[in-house]
Amino acid sequence: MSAPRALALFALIVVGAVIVWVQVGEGPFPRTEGRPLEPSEPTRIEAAGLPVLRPAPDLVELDGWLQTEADSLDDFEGKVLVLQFWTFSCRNCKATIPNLKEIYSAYGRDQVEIVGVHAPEFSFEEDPDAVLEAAVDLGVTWPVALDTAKRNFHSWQEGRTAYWPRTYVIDAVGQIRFDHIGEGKYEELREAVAALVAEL
Amino acid sequence: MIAAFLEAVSELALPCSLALVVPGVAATLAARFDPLAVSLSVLGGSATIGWLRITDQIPPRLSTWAAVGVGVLVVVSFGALFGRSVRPAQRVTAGAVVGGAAAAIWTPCVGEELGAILTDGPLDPLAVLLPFLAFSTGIGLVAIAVAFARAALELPERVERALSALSLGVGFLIALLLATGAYSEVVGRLVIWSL
Repeated sequence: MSAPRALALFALIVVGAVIVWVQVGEGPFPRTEGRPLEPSEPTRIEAAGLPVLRPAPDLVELDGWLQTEADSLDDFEGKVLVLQFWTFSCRNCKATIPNLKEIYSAYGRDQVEIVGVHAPEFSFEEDPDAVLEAAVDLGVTWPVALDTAKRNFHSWQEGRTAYWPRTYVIDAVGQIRFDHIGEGKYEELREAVAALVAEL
Repeated sequence: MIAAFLEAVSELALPCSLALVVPGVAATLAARFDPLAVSLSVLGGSATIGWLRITDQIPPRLSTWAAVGVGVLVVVSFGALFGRSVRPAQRVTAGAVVGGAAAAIWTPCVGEELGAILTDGPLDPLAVLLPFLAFSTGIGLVAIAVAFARAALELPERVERALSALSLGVGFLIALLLATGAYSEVVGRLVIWSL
């Protein structure tokens, strides 16, 4: 075998080993759900100084609500609201649920409410019965707003490329005070909720 | 950056990554000559268009006519990739076009690292450039591996022809998905299958 081919073969083995290591094993950075921060790890949110990002838009032209009598965000006024755009087959959305459950169980319903705005990515996620079944399976007990046509999913994300999951924390007067795309920032989310509850 | 790279590698086999992985592998397989350069140019194209998308410097979605135009470009690019008389620079350009088109239709799985990149991207595009490049490199790893394999193995002429035909078919498929907007449905079926 010529030297270039041997080198290419060696490089192939190395690349393959990296892929197998990360895919099959845990890799050096295992996935976490609701990972608590190490004491030395800095948080980016000062508990008392959450910036006001923008007023929260209303949810408009929804296709219904599940697990609640509410039919508008106005029904949650006066509470700290965690609003997450999600869809039930999205693995990253599912990874955030344990942290949301922790928040939901830590506060009374007069203080904190969670609203999962279900914006389906695929056609099989559009059926409300399938959404309800998935919510039960995943242990999602908070209100779910059905945004089947994804009007709110796109309008809330301001004409940008829209992503799942996207989590907002809205204060008692309807201002967005925390905004994060994807998994992670669990401790920051909990701190944001705690800081806003303290303001109630 | 290493975390972003490894997060991408951990997502290589997921349906949400296939929009980037499959075109990269197909283009590299199509490249009978300079496969490594082609795999890197696919990576460069996808990283560039992906970065422009996540930092809101280009529209989030292609218009219908733009999608048709990009679809045609993809087919032409795949044709250029396995042509014998094509110059290396043209091959690299074709790879970049394929990568860019793939990034245009990609809907990512947003893990912790990519989530931080996407959250910060529109606010500070330059700060997320290197982490996103690291993420893109992780996604491009399969195509790079295929390129090394192609360089290491001497394939019989019949296999070379079969690979070319296969990759051209994939090129047509990608173009079709781009032009019809059916990409989401295809990935959706893969998601159902993987559940």
